[in-house]
Amino acid sequence: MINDNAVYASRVLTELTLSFHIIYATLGVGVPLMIMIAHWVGIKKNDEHYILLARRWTRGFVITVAVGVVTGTAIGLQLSLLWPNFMELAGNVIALPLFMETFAFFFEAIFLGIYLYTWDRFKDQRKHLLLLIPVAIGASFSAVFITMVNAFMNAPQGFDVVNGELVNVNPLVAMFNPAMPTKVAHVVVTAYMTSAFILAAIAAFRLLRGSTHIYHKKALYLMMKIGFVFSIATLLIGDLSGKYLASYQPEKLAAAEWHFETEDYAPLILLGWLDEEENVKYAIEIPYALSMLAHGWPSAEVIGLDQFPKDEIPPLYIHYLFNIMVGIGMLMIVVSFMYWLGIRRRWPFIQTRAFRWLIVAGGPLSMIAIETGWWLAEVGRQPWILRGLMKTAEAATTSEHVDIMLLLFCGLYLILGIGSVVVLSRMFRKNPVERELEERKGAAHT
Amino acid sequence: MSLNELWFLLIAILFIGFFVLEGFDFGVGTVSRFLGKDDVERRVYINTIGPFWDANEVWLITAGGAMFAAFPHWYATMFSGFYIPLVFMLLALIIRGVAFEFRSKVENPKWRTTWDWAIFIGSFLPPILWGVVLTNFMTGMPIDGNKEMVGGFLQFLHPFALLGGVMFLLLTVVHGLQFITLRTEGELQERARKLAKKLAPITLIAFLAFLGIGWYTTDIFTQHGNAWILLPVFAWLSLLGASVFNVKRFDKRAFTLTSFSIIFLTASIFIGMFPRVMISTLGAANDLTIFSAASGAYTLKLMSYFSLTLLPFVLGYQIWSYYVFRKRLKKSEHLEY
Repeated sequence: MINDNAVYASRVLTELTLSFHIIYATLGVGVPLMIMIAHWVGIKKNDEHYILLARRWTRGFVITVAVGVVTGTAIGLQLSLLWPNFMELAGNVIALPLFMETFAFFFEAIFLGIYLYTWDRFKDQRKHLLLLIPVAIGASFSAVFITMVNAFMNAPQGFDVVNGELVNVNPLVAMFNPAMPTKVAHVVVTAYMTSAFILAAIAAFRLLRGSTHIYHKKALYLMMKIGFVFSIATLLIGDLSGKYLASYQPEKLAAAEWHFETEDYAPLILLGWLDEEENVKYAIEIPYALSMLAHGWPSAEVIGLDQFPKDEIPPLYIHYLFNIMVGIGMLMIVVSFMYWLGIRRRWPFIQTRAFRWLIVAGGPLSMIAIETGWWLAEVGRQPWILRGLMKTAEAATTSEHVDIMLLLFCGLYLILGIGSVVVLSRMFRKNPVERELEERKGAAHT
Repeated sequence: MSLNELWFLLIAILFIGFFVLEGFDFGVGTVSRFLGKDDVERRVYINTIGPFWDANEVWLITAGGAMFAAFPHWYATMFSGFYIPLVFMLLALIIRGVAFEFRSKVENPKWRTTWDWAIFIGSFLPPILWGVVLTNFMTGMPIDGNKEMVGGFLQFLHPFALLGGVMFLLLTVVHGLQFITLRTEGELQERARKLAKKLAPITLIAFLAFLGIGWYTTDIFTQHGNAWILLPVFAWLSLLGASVFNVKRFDKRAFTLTSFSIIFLTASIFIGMFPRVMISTLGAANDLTIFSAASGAYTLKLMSYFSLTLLPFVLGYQIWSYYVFRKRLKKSEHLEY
């Protein structure tokens, strides 16, 4: 018995919630590391500017954490309300990492509160920095545990179904499934990368808006360097993710690459258009590249969509999501590398307004890459909620009231989104860097 | 003790901890809008719970997580049965959580008034809803043989449950006021004492009525023998003692006793439920118990190792954070929230 309206509304509500939450969650995972790095650099170089960076970022971080936490809690509850049949199985098999995540969050919440309030209580700044370690670890492990559950949905294992009963449940096997290593690494590293590029974008924006303060230049250079390191890491892990997909979820890879027929020497298709007969038009084809991507060998056979029944193939528009995600990732590698090299070689063009605007655009673009990446991951798993075992439609609630909930939550996210933007912009505009530096100097002398 | 019993105990402790800790910040959130006469005063009140409320709320999230992992059927039945109160509770907690962070960061009277109301509603609704849910834990719900709730959508709303809601709200407000007396001084502290004194009689009456009806209509207080009736009696006496200490300005003792009142009350409900986790009104055969609602034995074992290792650290650090922020708040001080 499937209620199509409820399935549809449940999907929309879940997509909306995840898309909204991931913005704050990404910053929540990535920014603590950036604060830690800035604080550490400040202590090491004895440079007040970096310390101030850490202070100001922390204040903004608190806002994103608040929204991230509440929307994360909303997801937890919505999963039970909207996908009861999935959660019944999940509760028996994969609840452990969900439970562990609450501990990770516990540490983050407690230490963040203390870190935030105790800036001036420590004579030794290094001790204060120590408080940040559990915050950063807690934040990253939250992502690790939650992504484990998502990996399980892509590669379910650790249990058997015999006559409709769950037997041989082993949560550890379920947690350490084949999708887990690449997925977890990808999520964590892209969160660091995106956070770095967003903080860089903010610094570049202040410089474009007339500020010439060295504070912003230091922030920009530091974040572009870190962003470069993590975007390279993303590239490597992304490649491994492709190889994972080729072996374990070939239909997802094939749909993302518009690879219809199983063949050797498979070319990689970029962009393009599908006509009614599913012929690829106007696309860029790179010979052998898909075989290389999937198996690291130009002659390797890549499984195509012809191997799967029609009703088990994910929607083909994920091809564009994939292209956007990878395109932005590549662009950011180039931009951050050029900036880093340009600073060292004193290239004048990286100081131009045009290049700064490119860096500013890089912030939101990185977030778009995160969004498209998650849409690719989730839509690319359809029609399954648990690949090969349970279809999304079978997992959904049959309740009649999902559309009302959808409206309620839409309103809520609107309030949260606008609220957080207003708070962040007012908070920093009211208290510009120059003034805060003056005040701190004054306080130090008295 | 079997692992099932251990996990029931842990979940009960997590819920009791949640009610005691988040109880006072619900109370403070409910009264801050009215007790504070101007913006600075309201900020002082909000700042008494500023550094704590989020870690307090994690107790609920952890309790929920433990319930989900250890007793998936308890969790599932609870969510289908209390769909509406839980959705509203979630919305209230969301709005409240961001309101604390948003409110004081923008200097605009309209902005602040809006979020003050959000704090009020977000702090006022959850204790009522929790009171309703706890009362329904006592009376039981129509659960059929498939562990599913049958009957109407609003059946959890009956007069006894509403009394439970109101009683629980009053209890958290008094508890919150006692917390304020510990974290403020002067006029602001005095105002909290006065309101606590004013609310004491009605809270005690509502509490007594709740216990009386509970004793008369359910088996919760005497499930394991008549001696257990002492627990709810102690809960009531603690509240009585707290009001006496409040009048005598022994703030620490008063707060300790309101805490114990909540501990005794919620403990007596969980003990009365044991070994059931959801009582069925359609016959004892349909009750969910710590065995019929449980996860696999291996999952429970893994969870036990994991939690028993981490729990002491988490508790230790939370106690430490209360110690770090033990100083009383003044109007002249820097206010973060």
